[in-house]
Amino acid sequence: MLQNLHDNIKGWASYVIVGMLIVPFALWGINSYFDGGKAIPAATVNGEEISSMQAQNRLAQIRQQFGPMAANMDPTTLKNMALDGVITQELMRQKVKEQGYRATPQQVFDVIAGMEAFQKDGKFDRAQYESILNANRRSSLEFEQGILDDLTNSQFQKGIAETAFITKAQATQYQALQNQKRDVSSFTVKAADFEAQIQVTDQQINEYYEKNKSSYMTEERIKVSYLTLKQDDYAKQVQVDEAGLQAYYEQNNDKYITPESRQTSHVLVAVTEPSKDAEAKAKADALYADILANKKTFEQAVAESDDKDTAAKGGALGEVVVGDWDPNFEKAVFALELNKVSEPIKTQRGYELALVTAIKPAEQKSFADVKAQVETDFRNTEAEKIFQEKLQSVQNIAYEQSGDLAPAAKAAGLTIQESDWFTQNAGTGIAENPKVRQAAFSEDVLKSGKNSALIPVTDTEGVVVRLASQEAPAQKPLADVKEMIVASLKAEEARKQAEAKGKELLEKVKAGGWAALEAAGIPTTAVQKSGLIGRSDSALNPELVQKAFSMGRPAKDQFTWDSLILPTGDYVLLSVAAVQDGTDEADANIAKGYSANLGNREALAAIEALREQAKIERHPDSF
Amino acid sequence: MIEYKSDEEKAEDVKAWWREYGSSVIAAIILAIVGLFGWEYWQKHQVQTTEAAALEYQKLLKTTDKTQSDKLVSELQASYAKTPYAALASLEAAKVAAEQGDLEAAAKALRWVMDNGKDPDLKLVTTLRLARVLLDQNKQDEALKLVDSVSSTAYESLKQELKGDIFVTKNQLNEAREAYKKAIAANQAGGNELIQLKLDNLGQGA
Repeated sequence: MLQNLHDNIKGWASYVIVGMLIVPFALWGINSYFDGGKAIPAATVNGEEISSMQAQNRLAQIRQQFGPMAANMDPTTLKNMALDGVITQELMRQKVKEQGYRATPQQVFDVIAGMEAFQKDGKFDRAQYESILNANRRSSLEFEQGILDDLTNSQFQKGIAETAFITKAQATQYQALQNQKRDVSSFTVKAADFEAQIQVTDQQINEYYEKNKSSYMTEERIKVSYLTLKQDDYAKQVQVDEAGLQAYYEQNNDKYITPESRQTSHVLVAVTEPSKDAEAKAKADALYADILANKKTFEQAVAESDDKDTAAKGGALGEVVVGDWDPNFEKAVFALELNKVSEPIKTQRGYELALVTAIKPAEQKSFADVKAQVETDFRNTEAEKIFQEKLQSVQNIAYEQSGDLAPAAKAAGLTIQESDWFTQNAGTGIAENPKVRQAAFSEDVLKSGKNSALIPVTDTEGVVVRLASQEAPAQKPLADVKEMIVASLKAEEARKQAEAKGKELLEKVKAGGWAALEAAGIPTTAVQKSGLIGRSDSALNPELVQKAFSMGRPAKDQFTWDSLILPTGDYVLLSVAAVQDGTDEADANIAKGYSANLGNREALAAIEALREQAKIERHPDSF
Repeated sequence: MIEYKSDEEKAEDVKAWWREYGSSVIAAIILAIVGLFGWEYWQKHQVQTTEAAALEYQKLLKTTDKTQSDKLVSELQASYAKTPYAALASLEAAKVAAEQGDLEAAAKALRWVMDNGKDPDLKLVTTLRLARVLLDQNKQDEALKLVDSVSSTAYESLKQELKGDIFVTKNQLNEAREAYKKAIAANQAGGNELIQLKLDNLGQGA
């Protein structure tokens, strides 16, 4: 072809053609000629592709958020959630790009400075920031660009959410509604009162049993054969000799030290609530200054300590050893010279001044003194090695020869044991552990009859199970469930009778007020008069309160009536005699809550609108 | 026909070609370079303008001083109207005014966004906010017209809730109840408590 080109095309035409060829090669490289087709994107949004990788990452995040629940969720649902998530992100990205939003470098810095990982003593530390990025092999440029992008991409949504408002008048009105009080009375027709007279015939019981047979089944039960590996078992088998122990002691002598301890006294200026922090700090600073200037002795300062228990003993805390105390306090104490008072230390309790009165240095314990401890440590260390090895080999063999437990048992020198019967939800012995039950009832073990994977019961114990015997769910005989059926039938009938009675009474009180109950043989004292109650009043069942607040407003000196059936079957008559709106000034915090809720809804609607206008193709099968 | 040319002849050809087209080629290259730098400069300028506007907007969010915030808002509206921050600043100004009960100022700021905003999606949100302010000014009919002008179904819940509020003030309680019910049904964001409260407060009706 090139020869032809050379032969036939001369002059400027050849330059043009070569020029045209250069363009695609320069832009896409030769690679795209060899790649063949490209991978299918997870979605396209207005012509822009979202890679399946992005969707996959999102899916992983979602799974992590749901934790163990994710395993029980429909994978298609999860995938669609992930897809929705990345599409929303892409929609926002496009909107933000189109409109030219851009976060400022200051905002990026604020975000980074606010991350705890990059802080030292509560302040951003550049050296720490750089070393953490280095450790994760990320350049600060790339990291900061990522944050800039994230901040920028959220600005459309945030801009809407943060500027949402309700007017002052609306805030007041909502507050009035929220703090409304209603004068509520109620009378309950109790379903239980009817149960005593209800007779249930055998025929009814039989019919009910036949109709609901499927709910009267025993649970599926299984037995498993299993292997247990325990690190402790190997600890007993470890060979021990004097020389070995001595060597172990030498190698690990830093484990056998009595740590340095410091006899310490302190003065506490307690911070009882976060708002009083500055006040406490000022007081502690003043005490410290007085001590430095010799205006006060440490003992005089102790008299003002908020730690009354130690103040009585001159502030003495006893011996401070690493690991027992507030880390800030500990750090300060161990940096302190003998008989010098520390600067105020910020601790969980407030601000403290410390004084070290004696130092007992760290001391090496002799081999003879700790021999028993050394032996235990040595055995554990050796046992752990053996345990890990056996764990590995059992895991491999049980997997490779998944149709039989014996080879794995033989390889690890274990005997196969058998469990008692257990169900998916309860068991004894080995099946007491939910991880074991879950594995035993998994598809692989229960349906395919394979060995389970190695179940890490604890850090030092592993189990492999396989199905030994199985008992399908069985019908429970009528005799076993008769009592339950009688109770259900009685409750059902009582519910009906209570409702009938309640409806009848409701008509009466609507016509003649609560006094009308007398004619039906019910004393008016049985009416529960709750008086003026608020929405969160606990004088009444919350369901009744909610109902009472959804009833119409009564005219002056009138009642509105309604009724409600509770889950227990009780039928409740309700009256509202008066409605009193709240009169309080609108609370700024509550108004903020309303605005935030509204902003959230507005932002979601705006994103939904973007979705409506966009051209979106979804490929849930691509990841 | 095949032509054979000596090297001298070929060099002659190239030179002839260059005499004829050389100046155009150089002009094209210069144009490309100027264009590239121009584009770079334009990009940089855009970023700088946007960042300046974003900075002003950040300042606005932080200040509580009214003179200062008024100044920032009018500056953004005047000099940075092309950036999204002019609209956001106006929305923020409307929020502050409405929360203090200054409906006049809130409406004015919202109308600025309606007239000058560059983002049709932000304008939809603004439309509903303006309707909410107008309702408080007792301009129910104008408010209702604004609500109905938003046709996107994404805003259904917000629209219906506002309609309910409007109907309540017009004492059309049945319409209000219907609207609140639709608002709850269409709400995908959760947090229906307040709408439910407003609905319940109307009672069950006849």
